[in-house]
Amino acid sequence: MEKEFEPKIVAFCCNWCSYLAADAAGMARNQYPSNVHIIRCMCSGMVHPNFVMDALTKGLADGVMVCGCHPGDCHYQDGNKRAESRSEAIFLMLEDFGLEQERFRLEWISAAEGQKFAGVAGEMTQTLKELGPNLYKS
Amino acid sequence: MPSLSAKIDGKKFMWDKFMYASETEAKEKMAVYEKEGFEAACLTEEGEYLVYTRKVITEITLE
Amino acid sequence: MKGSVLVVGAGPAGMRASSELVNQGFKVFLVEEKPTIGGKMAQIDKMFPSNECSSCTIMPRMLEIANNPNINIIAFAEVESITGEPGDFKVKVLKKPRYVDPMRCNACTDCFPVCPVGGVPMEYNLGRGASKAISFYSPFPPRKALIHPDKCNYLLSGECGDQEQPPCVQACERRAIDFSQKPVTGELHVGAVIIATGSDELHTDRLAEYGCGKMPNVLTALEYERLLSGLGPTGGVVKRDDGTAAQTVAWYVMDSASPIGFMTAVTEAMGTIEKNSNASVWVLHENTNISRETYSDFIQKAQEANVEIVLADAVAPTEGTEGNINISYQAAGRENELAGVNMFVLVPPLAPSKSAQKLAQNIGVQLNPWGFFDKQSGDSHPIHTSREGIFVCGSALEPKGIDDAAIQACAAASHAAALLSKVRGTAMAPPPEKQSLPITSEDEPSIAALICKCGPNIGGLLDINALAEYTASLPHVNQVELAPFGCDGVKIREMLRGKEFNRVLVGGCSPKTHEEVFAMHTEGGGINRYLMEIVNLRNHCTWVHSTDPKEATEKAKTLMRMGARRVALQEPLEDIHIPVSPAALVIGGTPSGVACALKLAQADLQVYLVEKESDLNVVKANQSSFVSRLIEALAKLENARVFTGAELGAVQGFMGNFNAEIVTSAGKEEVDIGSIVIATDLNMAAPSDNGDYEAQLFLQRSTNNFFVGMLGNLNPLDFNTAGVFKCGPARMEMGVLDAIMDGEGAASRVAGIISKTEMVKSPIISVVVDEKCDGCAYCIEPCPAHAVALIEYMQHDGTKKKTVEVNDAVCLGCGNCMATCPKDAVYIQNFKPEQIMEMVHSVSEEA
Repeated sequence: MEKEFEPKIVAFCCNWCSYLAADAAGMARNQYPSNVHIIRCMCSGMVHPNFVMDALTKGLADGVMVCGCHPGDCHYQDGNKRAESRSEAIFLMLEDFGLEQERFRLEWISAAEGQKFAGVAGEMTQTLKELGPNLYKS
Repeated sequence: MPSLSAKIDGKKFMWDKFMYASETEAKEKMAVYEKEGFEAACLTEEGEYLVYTRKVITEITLE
Repeated sequence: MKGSVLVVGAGPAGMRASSELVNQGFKVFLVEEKPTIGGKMAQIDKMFPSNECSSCTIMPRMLEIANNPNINIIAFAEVESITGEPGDFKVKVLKKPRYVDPMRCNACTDCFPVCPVGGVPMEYNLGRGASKAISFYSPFPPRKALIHPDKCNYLLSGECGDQEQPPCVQACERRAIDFSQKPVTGELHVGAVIIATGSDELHTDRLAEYGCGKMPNVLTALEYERLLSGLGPTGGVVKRDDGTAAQTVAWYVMDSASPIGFMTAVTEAMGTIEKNSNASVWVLHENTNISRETYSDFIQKAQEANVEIVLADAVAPTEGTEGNINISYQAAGRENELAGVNMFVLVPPLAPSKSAQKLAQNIGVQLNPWGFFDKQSGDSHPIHTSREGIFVCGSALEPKGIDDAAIQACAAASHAAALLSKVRGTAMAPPPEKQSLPITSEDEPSIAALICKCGPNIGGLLDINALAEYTASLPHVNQVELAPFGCDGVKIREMLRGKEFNRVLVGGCSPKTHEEVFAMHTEGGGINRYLMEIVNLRNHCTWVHSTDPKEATEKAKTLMRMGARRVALQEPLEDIHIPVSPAALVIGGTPSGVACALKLAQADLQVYLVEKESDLNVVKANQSSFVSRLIEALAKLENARVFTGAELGAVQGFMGNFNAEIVTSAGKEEVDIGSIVIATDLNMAAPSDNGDYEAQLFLQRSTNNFFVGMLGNLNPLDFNTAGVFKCGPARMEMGVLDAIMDGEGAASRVAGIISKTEMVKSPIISVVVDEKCDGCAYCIEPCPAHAVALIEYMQHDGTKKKTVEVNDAVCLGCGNCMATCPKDAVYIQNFKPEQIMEMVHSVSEEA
């Protein structure tokens, strides 16, 4: 019997909010699928669109998330706003590459929203399971 | 290979990519640069004289 | 004289006073009556008027305090007496027994599941939620277990379970449980005392009259906060007594004298709608006068978000059906009713914390008729108490918002600093000496890997031996060891003794809580702290994938692979030392400017005060005897230079290193300063011919002309420009006493910078790759710190080229430059794009 497809997800989490949210999810034991792998960055605004596009167009991940602070809460004033503008460019590039929009997700998660982090991780995993593997996977 | 940049007095200077044979020559070139409004500095490395310059640009236009 | 300060109460005010003091060179003993720190701020969900998540905001500050070697937290303790004189106090502190040795307990939680006594109501959650007889008091530091003596079988009856030793003792590998503990009194010698004991909800019979404790689903505001909080007993879902979610909630503000209760209700109502957009919420109040603009802006936002605010009289709740409440009230002369409301929240008045009365008695300090800390007659300074050298701040004075409490805490710190200026630095522990191996980034990486079992937390779920074997197979990993609790440093130091390694990889818990501690062990082993990486196998793996050990182990392998790749590319970094000009510039001889300059001068710091008028006494706002006395005191201090009939000319530089022109009729004088304070009147002159310092310092104003700065409740005095502060009417309308406290608070912020000979800064900042940068300048505008400048330079052949320069002193390391660069020409130290992509590659590979 064929093994069920397990998507690989990379989640860029900012040091001041969403990384702490993932920690809080841990403290509260909010369960979510092990498909999500967190890479810490100082700010959601640190994520170069190339990181996301390379991850997807080189078939390294089935989905990518960028998690930052809620608007107004960014530790560096407006890094998250820049992450948002970059995400608009990313969605356009996904289209150009024939990749589904659902493979990228930008999410605002504050440090106390552990349950939200777990929820988003679960949702993303389920969405990608239904979508199937990244067409660029070798 | 000399460093492309040098920090002098806390400020970043950039090498002009030339190795001068004498201090006099280096100083001459520095004077030329200074006339164009650049800050210039002379450093020595292994007997060669190097000239570094900088000018802060306040009006920024993106291409 | 002692160069240390006792701070009583570890809520937002106490914590802030502690960090301000330590930053200015004074050691702190922080005594807290509860077993954990944080006060009400850690218990509430959102705070007004910023609507920030309260616990998220305070958590990093708490960790800084908990890890600071010069702040000694004494939790679960009370002050019994204070004798002596200002500068030389002897304090007796009573430590209450936890029955757990905090030096041994490492929060593994092995004892919790085996304790047979459950259902213990949690005091931290106001009785909601239940724990065992051995538990954590709250999710906050100090994270040490504690035993409830009135619930514990062993403490009550001398036995527990059918074996000789109780189950908790058997489960504790660290042998931390100690039933023999008794209350212990210790003595501290300090130079000054700051009281920050806060306030509590006043619980009187009035609450019962309104149904609290009598009708279901009637609760107080603080109880409701625990329901809203993601770290509370219901995980942030507002649940009724029967466990169903509440759809309709009403608040009644029982105290119209202070705006704090009203703001609390509005914040909770808005928080309820944010979590449930279908909820209907009402705030009933009797006539609360809101004069502060930031508060009324917040109220308007709430109303726009569908929070109904009702001016109501004669509020009378009665029990409805299905646990609902019917609330009748009078509004605009007519009878009204809110029928069938799911939950009714009472906001009682705030009173001094319950232990304040006892404390005041113990230390011989007066309280006023309402129970708040008072002062000697004739002394109207809010921060003073009736005893010299003992100061008070925050809600212990009177109910106030967290933003005001933070300012007062800073002011209290400046008072203590002025008193103890001669002994600044004398009680501080020197930073530990670092002896690092000469590792360069060219050296072949050699990784020492430690996998921490973390008790059962990691070792209990993962196939730890398979993980260790796998880790050993990773490139550059030359040794792998397991440890029951790696953070004790024992195994790491053992491994590093041989000096064969130049990288440390820890598979353990979260770097957010443990980075400092593992960095300490890494340095102790002779390796630069930036060559260490912690992989989060606990919060991000075992704790959240606990139903599938096989999957969890596979993910753990991936995470270790990612970490090993990252740490191999890590470079040794040195902290950045920047010399500081040890002087301050205060602009504006207003009450806040004068108060700021005075506190700085009294603290033996050099200060320049610039005022446009010909004489400080002529300034309109200074027409009061209180201010005249401050002006007189300032004139006597040599290290305060007052420039009257003066204006500010050109200003340039950055935190620690500003240069300013002071222009008088006599000419221009240039001063070098480390910090600047704006203490002007609101209606300041527009930029003069002499210069526009507002533009040069990137200062911003709001639409109503007040200066605005850093976002957030905890930074009301800070501009976004580092090293520049604002106080008094320059930032908000306020009375003279508040303006004075504002100025004194700003003095503390300034002293934190200029009392040091140099600033130490994290080296995790932006680096330009000269070979690749062509000066396209895309990275300049996104920089929040204005740290990037464009420079032109000459080539020998006459061509001009461009590149960018990063100001190391102000760069925050956020990475926005890196993310905009199209040339791969700028990166953040140890967050290089190649490191990040290596980690992404690692995710796609199979173990």
